[in-house]
Amino acid sequence: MNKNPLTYLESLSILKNFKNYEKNINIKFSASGEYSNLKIFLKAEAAKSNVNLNLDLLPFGSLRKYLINENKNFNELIILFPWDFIPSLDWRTGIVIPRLDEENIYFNEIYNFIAILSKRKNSKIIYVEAPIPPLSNNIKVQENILREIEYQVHKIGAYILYDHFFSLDNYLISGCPIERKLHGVFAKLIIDYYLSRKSESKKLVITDLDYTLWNGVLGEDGINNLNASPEGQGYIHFIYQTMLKRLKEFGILLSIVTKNDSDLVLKSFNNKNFILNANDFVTICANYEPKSLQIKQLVKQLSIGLEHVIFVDDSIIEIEEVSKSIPEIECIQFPKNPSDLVSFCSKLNSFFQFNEITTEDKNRTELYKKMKLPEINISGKGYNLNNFLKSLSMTLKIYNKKIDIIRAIQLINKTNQFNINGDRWKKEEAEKILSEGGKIITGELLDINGNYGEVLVLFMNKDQQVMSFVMSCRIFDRKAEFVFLTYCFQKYQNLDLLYKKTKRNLPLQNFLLEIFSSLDIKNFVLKKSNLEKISKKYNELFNVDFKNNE
Amino acid sequence: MEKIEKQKLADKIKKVLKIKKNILFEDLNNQNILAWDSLAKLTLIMVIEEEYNISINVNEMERFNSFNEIHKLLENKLNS
Repeated sequence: MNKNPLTYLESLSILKNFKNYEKNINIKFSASGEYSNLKIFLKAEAAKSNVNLNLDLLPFGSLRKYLINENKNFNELIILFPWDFIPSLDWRTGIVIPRLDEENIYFNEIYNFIAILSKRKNSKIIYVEAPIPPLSNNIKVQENILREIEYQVHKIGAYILYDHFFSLDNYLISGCPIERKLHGVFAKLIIDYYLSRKSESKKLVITDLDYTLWNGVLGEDGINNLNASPEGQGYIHFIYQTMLKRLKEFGILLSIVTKNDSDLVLKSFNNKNFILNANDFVTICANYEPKSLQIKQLVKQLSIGLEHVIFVDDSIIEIEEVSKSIPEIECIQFPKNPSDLVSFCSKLNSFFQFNEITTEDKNRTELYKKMKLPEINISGKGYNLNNFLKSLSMTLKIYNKKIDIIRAIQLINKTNQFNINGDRWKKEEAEKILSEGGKIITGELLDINGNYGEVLVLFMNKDQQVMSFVMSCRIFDRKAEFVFLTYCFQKYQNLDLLYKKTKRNLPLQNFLLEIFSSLDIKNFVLKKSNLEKISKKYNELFNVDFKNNE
Repeated sequence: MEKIEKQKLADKIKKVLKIKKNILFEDLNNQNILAWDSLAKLTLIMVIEEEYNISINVNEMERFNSFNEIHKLLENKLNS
């Protein structure tokens, strides 16, 4: 069963196949907006619990009249916004003209409406916080009104939802006050509340690092250039770190799973601008194995059920690999844009329900760290991503002659992990080799999610000795390196890879092992025949645009 | 250049509008399809936002009248 909030198409699919149900519930859905789409989400959410939900919606804008005139005893779900208490505060009717003594007038309207609601004994009431139009020059009046509504709904036992669910844009355009992208989350919360469904409480959040816990790539940008401070590009990561810190205080365990070198990861937490430090994490897994394998090992060590785990990563490829390999765990993609942060935080938060914090909760991480965790080795391969990679419609643009080599040299000098020998090059040194007949070939990757820029560089001298071959870790696991080299062989017969083992180039070593089967050889001369068999299965993943600039 | 696969997009639109029969891309519009009313348009906007992870602004909503317009809008958005 999919435990994530649903999309509209997923909801339709569930309802289409929903035949056998355990329970039938008829509910009057009393709300003043346009909820035809939300109805689909609500029915699908209920279907996940084998409940056939029949919702009777009110005509648009008729809530108040209905509540005043109808007082029958039936199951009812009432969704309220501030303007349901004070109709003149509805955005759709425009800004109200200030009145004398308006605060008292509005307070009386609130009390009258509360009196009507109090009579409805079989109703479950949900109040959604939302901003109201400006009333007068006195901002205190506005604040007092909202506060009074919240106080009164709290008194009658309403379930209160925060104002990020409200979308003025959607309300004005369609009459539905709920943010379009949060319909799934909203429906899940409503049905959880109405059916008293207890979400399986999550116990462990596993997070990625690069472009998730911080802005930047540890292996390329270095420890000092990672940003999770409350400004600029670091801001969404700062907010995410504060959220994780808060979850830890409530007894949720935090772990890291990252494709990085472990010593570098530990050093990165010396950054004084980070909210979190290494001690906040019960485990830190840093290696180059598939993340699904790292996660399976980690949850077994901690003796936590997979259904209690959330995995957060910015990479859609890692999300796909883990979610297909371990369908029991919740996977959430960390957003690239601040505009998606609200729905991300809503979604993450929806998996936790806290009533109070105990001393045991506060100390849970320390307790786990003190335990002697068993050594568990899980071997195998990660999920085969070929079908998913095909769906990304990847294009690799290969440039055979580089006019401006600055970016290429920068990539060579900052890449550590997928780097043939770790050698660094000055622009002048490279230019000398090029002037003597050397070559720089570069690869640029694009897919349906965007343009990753220049991510592959091969630098060789006139004798086809490869002085440098690097790939950005942003495109690991896409197999672009095989396709790139295959196209290099259109012009060159052999490539003598000047390989040197470094402390950091394990990913490159794994690549060489896939081709040569051993690193215990003297020369790494790559022939077309070495690559052909391996690359065949990867070539179809890419549309290659070979730009021969000569 | 991102390419939006036409058939996949058409399938999503047809699913929302509950169209089962085969239909040419050119004929998939609000002039030919009775079910493509103002509510359906709002539903399509929601689905496209969810499925392609984008946000549609008020001006762009005006273009949700035909498959071709939606396809062109998506390609422009994802390539910009």
